[in-house]
Amino acid sequence: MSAEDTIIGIDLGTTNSLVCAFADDGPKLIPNALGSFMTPSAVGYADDGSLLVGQAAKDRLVTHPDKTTARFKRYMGTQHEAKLGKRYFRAEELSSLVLKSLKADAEAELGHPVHRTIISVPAYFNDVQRKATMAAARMAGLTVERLVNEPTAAALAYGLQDRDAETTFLVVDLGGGTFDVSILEMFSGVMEVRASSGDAFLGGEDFTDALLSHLAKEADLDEKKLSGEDFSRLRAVVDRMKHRLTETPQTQGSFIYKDEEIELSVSRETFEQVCEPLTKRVRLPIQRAISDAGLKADQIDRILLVGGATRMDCIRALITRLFRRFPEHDLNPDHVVALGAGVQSGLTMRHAALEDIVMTDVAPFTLGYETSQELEPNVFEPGHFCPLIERNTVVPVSRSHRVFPVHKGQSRIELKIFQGEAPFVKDNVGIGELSVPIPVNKTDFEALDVRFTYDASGILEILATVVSTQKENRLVIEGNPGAMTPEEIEQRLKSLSNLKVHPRDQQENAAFLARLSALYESLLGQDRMMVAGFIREFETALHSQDPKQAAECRKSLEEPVARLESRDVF
Amino acid sequence: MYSEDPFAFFGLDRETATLTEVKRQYAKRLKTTRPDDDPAGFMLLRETMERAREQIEWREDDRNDPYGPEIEAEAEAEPFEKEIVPPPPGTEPGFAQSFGPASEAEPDDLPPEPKSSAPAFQPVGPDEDRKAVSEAIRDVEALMKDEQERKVWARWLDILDRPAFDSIDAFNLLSIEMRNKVCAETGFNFNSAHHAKMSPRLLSDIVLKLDDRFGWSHQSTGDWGDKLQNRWVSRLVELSIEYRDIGKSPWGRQKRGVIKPLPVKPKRPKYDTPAAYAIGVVWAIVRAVMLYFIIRLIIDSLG
Repeated sequence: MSAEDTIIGIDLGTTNSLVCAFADDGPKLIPNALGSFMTPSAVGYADDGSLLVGQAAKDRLVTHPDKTTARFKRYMGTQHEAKLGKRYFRAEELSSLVLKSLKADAEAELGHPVHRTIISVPAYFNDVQRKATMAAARMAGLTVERLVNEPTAAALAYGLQDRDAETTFLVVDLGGGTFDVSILEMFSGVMEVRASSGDAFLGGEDFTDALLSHLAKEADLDEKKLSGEDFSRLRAVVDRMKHRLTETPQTQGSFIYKDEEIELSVSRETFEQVCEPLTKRVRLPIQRAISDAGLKADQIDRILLVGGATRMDCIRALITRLFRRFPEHDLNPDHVVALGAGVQSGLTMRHAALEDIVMTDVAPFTLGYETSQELEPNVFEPGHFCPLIERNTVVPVSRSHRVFPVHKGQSRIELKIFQGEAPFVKDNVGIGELSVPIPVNKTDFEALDVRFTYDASGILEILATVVSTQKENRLVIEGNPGAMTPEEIEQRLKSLSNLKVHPRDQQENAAFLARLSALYESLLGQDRMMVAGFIREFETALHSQDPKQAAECRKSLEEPVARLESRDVF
Repeated sequence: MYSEDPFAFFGLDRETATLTEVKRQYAKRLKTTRPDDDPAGFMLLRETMERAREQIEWREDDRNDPYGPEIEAEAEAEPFEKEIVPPPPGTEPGFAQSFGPASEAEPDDLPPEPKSSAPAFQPVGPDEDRKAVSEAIRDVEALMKDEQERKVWARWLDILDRPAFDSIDAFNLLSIEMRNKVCAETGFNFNSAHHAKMSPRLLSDIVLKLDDRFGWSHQSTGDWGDKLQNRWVSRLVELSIEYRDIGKSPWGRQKRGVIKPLPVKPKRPKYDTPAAYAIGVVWAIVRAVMLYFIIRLIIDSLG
């Protein structure tokens, strides 16, 4: 296998994205141009019209909310478009820009081009969202070898430590925007999913929002009346306060509004009260996943916390209360999924160090067909969903049912294929139809064998065999094309390539400048003037076009800037 | 594919093999039958493992089941048969866990009061959990009798949100007993969910909220009894919903529409005998004539 066949593992997160490669001694995270493992999933236009990705864009969210966007993973696979400057972007395009930046980081680290990748996605992502993720990768010039579910990746990262044990894992993954609970089982190097559940609209960002509303109310601010810029700034302050609460029981922050400094203060207790309704939403999916798997609390061997939001005390306390013991967090919760994606890339490459581990895939949703139920003799109610391949079944898999026509003498059976979990088809997603002619038989019911074969790449084959004649009817469903057709992807790809992305070697400078501007806006008086001085100084250094001079200037300013930034911690 | 004994496939003894042994053998073979390299071989391996696992589960169930001997013979062919045998009243805790009081409500308009003379169920589990759940169910029964309070979800939450149900096991127990309660209250019927009827003591709004909380209608696992009850609840949910917004999904708000009216048997034609037909015709003529006179009367009075 040549070096260029290397597969990288990517955690494409709501708030942050990471990239990881599998080395001989295990998965290794790859730092970005700024030397950090975490690249914020944010995209925006710089003042010169080039595109910024990562930290610089995240900092500019505060100063230029109309030209910057983040948290687009929530819109993956939808028609929703974010407006940046004058151009509209789909979530796929924005994600592809982040992926491209991660790809560049990996290429810089590994020293050769990279074309193949494993990307982690939330377990509840549906087919459209999965396809959208693949489309994003394609636009970034990457081929997706496999999508791995985030909780599975997390368990892989942990499971590697003790690969022969028989372990039942509970993975609680509370990320920036999504909440995922999975129960996995590992035995003799085999990892399997037992149950999964979650809340697609719950994440750390919601806790920030809750805290923001609370603080705004206390400070007599109407959050709806704040301008976009003010709001982003307030949000940034609140977010920092939330993070600090994981370390201290009480924290303060200051927010500049109409040239006045507003003091904000919150204690951990108040925060927990404010977030009570959110914490409750964390509890239910966990309880449900366990009840789905038919397990008792003491049958769970390891409880893993994944995602930055699980650092919050209230979440840890909740888990402890539920299970009457402490959860594990040996690995950095922000890194676990990326590490697991790295392990998966090692598995896909058949790395020698992973020879004894086998990872099987599962069907992410239930597949079935529509049936009619006989309510009383000769009264049928159509629209019932009859599952054939249930969610979390290990794939590839082939299952069959024998079905009968509703009436004698019927000449066709219409098979309507659906995916989803609801008991009635109207709540599920229709994915195909097959009309099967059957011999007209007035005296007896004809029978039809329906076989679904679902493979690891998501292709579903339906084979309907008429029992009496052994005549076969076949339908192959390659899954949804996703929200975008291949042509559309090509077209978007072309228009994306016209965009000028900020060069990687200048990312550090762009990020630093964005950081200075954000700092300027959060200060008043003397301090603000000081930062204005820094900005002038740094811009002069940039104008010199000498990378060395810029780097030196950055270095000399780092200390006073960091000091000013931490000033709102009292 | 089905002909072979799964235990023979793994070189194990069907009477004594444990789940751990089966899994170990499966894992060993999986290393040489990887799904990517040999999909067909893998499917066979997987199927065999799952069959072995099922059979071990049935075997264990039978060993723990006092009715075992009569049913054991059928267990292979009809694994769920034993679950459908109605439990002798309040003797077998295993049944209480999956079915509960199952007080068969009469299919008239008002389901009768559940026969709550004696504590009809006996939940299984650690003592404290069991006590907390019994208490909660008693309080739910009391709540359902209160015409005003039973409409208020917060009153239900007062019971369901008790700290005792934070722990996973207590929550599961509560979920089972609450489902029993809901099913019993609505006249649970093994054969068809069609007869589900809402009870005045259990408002549709409350049913929806309970289902949201415990996830019954979306639960795809569980034994046969669980599945039957879950399907029953799904039906109740269907009846309860005119419109429900599932989450704040940006990819299309999923609308749950009004349930289609059930197809009705074709009505008997109105005039199905010659005599009735004749009467119908005469009646139509009489009506026409009367109408004519009335109009005449009006016109005359105006003129």
